[in-house]
Amino acid sequence: MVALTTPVLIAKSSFGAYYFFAFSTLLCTILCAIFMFETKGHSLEVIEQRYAEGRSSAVQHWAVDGFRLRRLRVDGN
Amino acid sequence: MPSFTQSLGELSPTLHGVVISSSLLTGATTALMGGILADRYGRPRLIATGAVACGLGMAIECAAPHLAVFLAGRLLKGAGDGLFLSTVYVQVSEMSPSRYRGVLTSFPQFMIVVGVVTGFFVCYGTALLPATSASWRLPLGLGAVLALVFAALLRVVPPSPRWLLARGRPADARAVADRLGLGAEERDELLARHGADAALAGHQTLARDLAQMLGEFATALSAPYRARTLFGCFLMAFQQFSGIDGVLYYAPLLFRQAGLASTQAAFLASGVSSLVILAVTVPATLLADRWGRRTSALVGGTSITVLMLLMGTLYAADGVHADSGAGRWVVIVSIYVFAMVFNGTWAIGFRAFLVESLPRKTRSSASSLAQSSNWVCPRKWPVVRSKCVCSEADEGGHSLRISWWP
Repeated sequence: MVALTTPVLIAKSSFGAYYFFAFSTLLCTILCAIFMFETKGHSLEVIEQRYAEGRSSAVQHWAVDGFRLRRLRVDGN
Repeated sequence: MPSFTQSLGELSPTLHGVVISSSLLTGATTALMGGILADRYGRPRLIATGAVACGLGMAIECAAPHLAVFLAGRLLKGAGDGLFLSTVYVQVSEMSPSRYRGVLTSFPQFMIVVGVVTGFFVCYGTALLPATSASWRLPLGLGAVLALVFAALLRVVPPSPRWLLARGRPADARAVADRLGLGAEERDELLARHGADAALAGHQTLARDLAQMLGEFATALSAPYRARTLFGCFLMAFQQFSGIDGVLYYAPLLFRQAGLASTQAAFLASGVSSLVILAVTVPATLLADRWGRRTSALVGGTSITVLMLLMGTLYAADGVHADSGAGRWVVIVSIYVFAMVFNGTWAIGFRAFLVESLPRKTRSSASSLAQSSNWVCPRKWPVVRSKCVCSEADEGGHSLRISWWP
């Protein structure tokens, strides 16, 4: 579908395709900001367990982590 | 290309598109099954099977006396591709120590880029051969040999310790983990958390296997795994919607619109951009574990959005002219920066995250689904592609498009 419509889009306006790509990328970036957490450096088992623990709110779990860190720093001051 | 039409006949633009995207058809189908078959029969074994199919397909293409035979070879090559591509990442991710996992999971992507660059220059060379069919048969033959060598090398790759555990072979898993240098802590963690998966431990008939395969997709798509599977498919699909392939295939035309002479444009577009991408992939691969997947996704996504808006706005404001003004140079530079950013961030980080975020139970089946969603998306942009391919049909370096683009 998209493969067929995109060339038409490009033919009709040279900028339409660029805007389409820009907004798809933006949407994806926003969703990454919300749902993606860092997996770097953890073993696959630890990652799986964290998902299981924070299951219903994997996101909040990680957001809370960052929040605590900030509060600790404030306390330190 | 003239030698290709000489041996196999003239291709209409539509037929051209069909030939090029034919391997996708079989690829997307076998990609769906690949992961689950790999769970069952062992990952290295399945990767080797896929590579052999791929090699045979290319050998058939190489020797094809007729277009129909060429097409058959291409279908077989696609089936082989689909069978092993997502499994390669799962295997690498599962057998890497967590400290280096990002670097090692990025390595296949790096090698794909090396393949594209090598392919370009091989084809650039063979296109200069006097008018014999060797100019398009030679790269395909080379590809076939490489695929078979790759399959042979897989004999020395051990199965992943996680897979061995799931098959109820903890002693073997322990030995492999030590051999791979997983480190005592990670190894014990691994051995402690995993139990054998009863479904995988026994031998079964093909019919039972197939029934189970459907069951595994159902598992991947049910709670609590559903969110991760769908997010993975979303990531792999939107990797395509950033426009990377569209822009790369369209690049020769874009450059020409921006005022570069045509031969020059074609070379800049294909050769230089592949070298630029290679140059970016090296540090991106090495730094994969410093930077992290989330950072890479956000930085990459933001930069790509800005670049796309910039180019779109320039065109919308009629600021790009073929013969004058700075607009065309901004577009050309933006396309290169876009290719660099994409290959340095999304191309590497998404794949690593995808495999890592999936639990062992659905890692294979959900990766397969994500792989298919990546392929079902307009990866090849067949129509755009056949258009610009035809317009540069006489400019050499061309059979590359047929033989080398994965």
